[in-house]
Amino acid sequence: MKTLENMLRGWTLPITVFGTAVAMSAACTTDPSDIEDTQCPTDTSGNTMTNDGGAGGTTATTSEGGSTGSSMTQTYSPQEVAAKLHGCRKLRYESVGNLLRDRGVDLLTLGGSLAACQTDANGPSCSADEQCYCPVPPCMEVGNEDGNDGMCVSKPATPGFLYQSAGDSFSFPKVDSRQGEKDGHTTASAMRLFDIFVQAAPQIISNIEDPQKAPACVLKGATYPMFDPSDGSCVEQSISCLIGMPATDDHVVLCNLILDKADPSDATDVMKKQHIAVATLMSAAHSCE
Amino acid sequence: MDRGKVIIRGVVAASVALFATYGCERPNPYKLTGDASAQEDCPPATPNPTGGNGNNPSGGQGANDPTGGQGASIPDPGELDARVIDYGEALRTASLKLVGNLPTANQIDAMANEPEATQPDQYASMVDEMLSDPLFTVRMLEYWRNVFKMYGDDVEIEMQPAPSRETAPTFATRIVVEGRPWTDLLTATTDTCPTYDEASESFVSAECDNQIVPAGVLTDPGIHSLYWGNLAFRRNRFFHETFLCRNANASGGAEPVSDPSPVGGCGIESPSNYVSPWPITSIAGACDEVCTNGNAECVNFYEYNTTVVCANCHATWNHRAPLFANFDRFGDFQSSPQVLVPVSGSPFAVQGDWLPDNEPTAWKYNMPAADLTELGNVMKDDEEVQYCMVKRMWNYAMSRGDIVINETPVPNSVVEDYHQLMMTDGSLKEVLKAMLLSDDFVSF
Repeated sequence: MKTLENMLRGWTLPITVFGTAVAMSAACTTDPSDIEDTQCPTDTSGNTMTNDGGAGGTTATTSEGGSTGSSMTQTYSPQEVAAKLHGCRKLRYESVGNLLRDRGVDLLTLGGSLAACQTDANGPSCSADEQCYCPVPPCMEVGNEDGNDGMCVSKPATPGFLYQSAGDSFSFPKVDSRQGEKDGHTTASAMRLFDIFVQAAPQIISNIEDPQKAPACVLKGATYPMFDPSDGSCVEQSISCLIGMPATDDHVVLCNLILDKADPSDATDVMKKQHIAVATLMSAAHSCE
Repeated sequence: MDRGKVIIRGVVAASVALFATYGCERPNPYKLTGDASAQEDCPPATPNPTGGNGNNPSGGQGANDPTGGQGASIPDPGELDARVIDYGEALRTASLKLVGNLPTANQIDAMANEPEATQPDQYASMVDEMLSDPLFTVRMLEYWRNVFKMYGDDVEIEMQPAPSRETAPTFATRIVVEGRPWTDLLTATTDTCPTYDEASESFVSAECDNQIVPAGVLTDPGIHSLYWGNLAFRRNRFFHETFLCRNANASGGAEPVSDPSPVGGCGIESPSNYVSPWPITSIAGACDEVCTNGNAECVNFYEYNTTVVCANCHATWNHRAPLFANFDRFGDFQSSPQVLVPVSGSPFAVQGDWLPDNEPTAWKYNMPAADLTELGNVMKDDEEVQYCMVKRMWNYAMSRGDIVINETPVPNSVVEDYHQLMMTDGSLKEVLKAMLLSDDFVSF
């Protein structure tokens, strides 16, 4: 069986987290695709409503009023419906850092020797438990030109390294190109976010009871473990702290379902499932701001 | 449905499924209109045909989206009915918006243990606390940096120090945080280049000192430096997109009217697909390739009369861009245009490159502005600008992304009440607060 470390070297665990999130959704929801994709909604008179998507600010709408409340009797145009629903934008880079720091995750430690390295055989290489990170490619010889220096970081990567090197995948602002931080997820940003959660999980589990390291999880002066030491089950208060809202019974059940998949006689497997449970809860909760 | 769509929807639905059950069944007394006591406003907690909490993965789409905002699927009005009020999730989202972090365990617990009847008050109280938190200032700085697409103090252009790209976002942030009138963004005449001292969590007043009477962010040196470009059209684009919430391109650059001017260039009628109210002869151009107004080798806007897609926008932009032309590359206002014309030799522009002699500058048709002070005044009175400010805030609150970049238009009807609030109270902070307390925000 692969060790957790081996899994973390590749895509296996992120995909597992991803897949678990999907599985969790499949177990609990009806497929949104059940909504008819092509049929225009009709207004109260039975006429097909326009959906020409006119320019904001000047669009004529079929609304009969401007209420911002969720009146059940009001008819809204498709654009109004879309505007009145929460969108799904990614968490800001800074917000990801804030929430992890306050929940016991060290985002400063890059890990590894940080020695200079190159990604090909011509330059200095890293030790077996390190990988060469190349912040400004190429970190290898191109023609007769020696590339830039990379640095040796630990393998698997620390959450600090994953977070600090996430600027590009989170599409950090590029002011000279007159671009702000992008609002939406890309595949890269979503996967990096989930990777960070996976790698942060062990620290969260270790530190969530430490009021100094995880101040956000102190509840009325008391602290709670991630998993109940008596039976290993998920602790509701800690789930709430991770997801940023009151945990429901379903949250606790789903968390425990993941733990139940572990072989109780295999401590490594139990630990692995604990990591997956934490990462899955956070990935599902924080896919959208 | 394709596999990618399933996966993305699955992950979103995972959070949806996890969080859908923290129910409501109570009115929201903070909504701006309607009957706050209407118990029937809250649907039964269990049936939710989408299996979701209303998170809208597409975040809405744009003006060119034939589905009207949902990408592949047309939004179903039933989705609004299917939402349930969830103050726990509302607190989480509001906290990320206002202080850039999740609520603490104590805050989550306080909300969870609040009796249903008083949960709205508890939530409102927590929103007030977050709006007073210094972290709200930090969050607003980030918001305005993204709106203006600029940040950074240590800027050089061609090895010379360039003006800060922080002053405009900081000034806008200060207006919001201090609850000042939103119109200060366009009309303030003092302290328009403040800085923010994070250590003392306070603003430090400062003048821009770039040789022009200040007019809010319209005279900010950082903006004019960053958006320096040929014929000042990049600056025009910045103010167009920022304050009109429309793309400065063929789809959103024009002032479409029902009765466009029939006057074309060079003695011909404007073609049928010309949509601008301006006579084409009101901007610079040449017949028979002979320039008479601007640089000898001119940009011939009359030619655009036959390629109308350009004239539709330039009819307005040529009246607006000269107002921004005298700022040099370092944001200092000079006595003559400091922007170039993209013809051989790259000469500095002259007035005739945009407009015929004696043609006045303007924000829009029938909205003349002789200088940036007047421009600020006509902009604040322009209903489209007013709505744009509200819509930007709405999209921020509702996680819909930038209204221009993400093409997430908002019908006026959705923000009508917030527009009224802004015009009476004047404060964008109050507008944001009202949005966060609204039924739409607390419903998922």
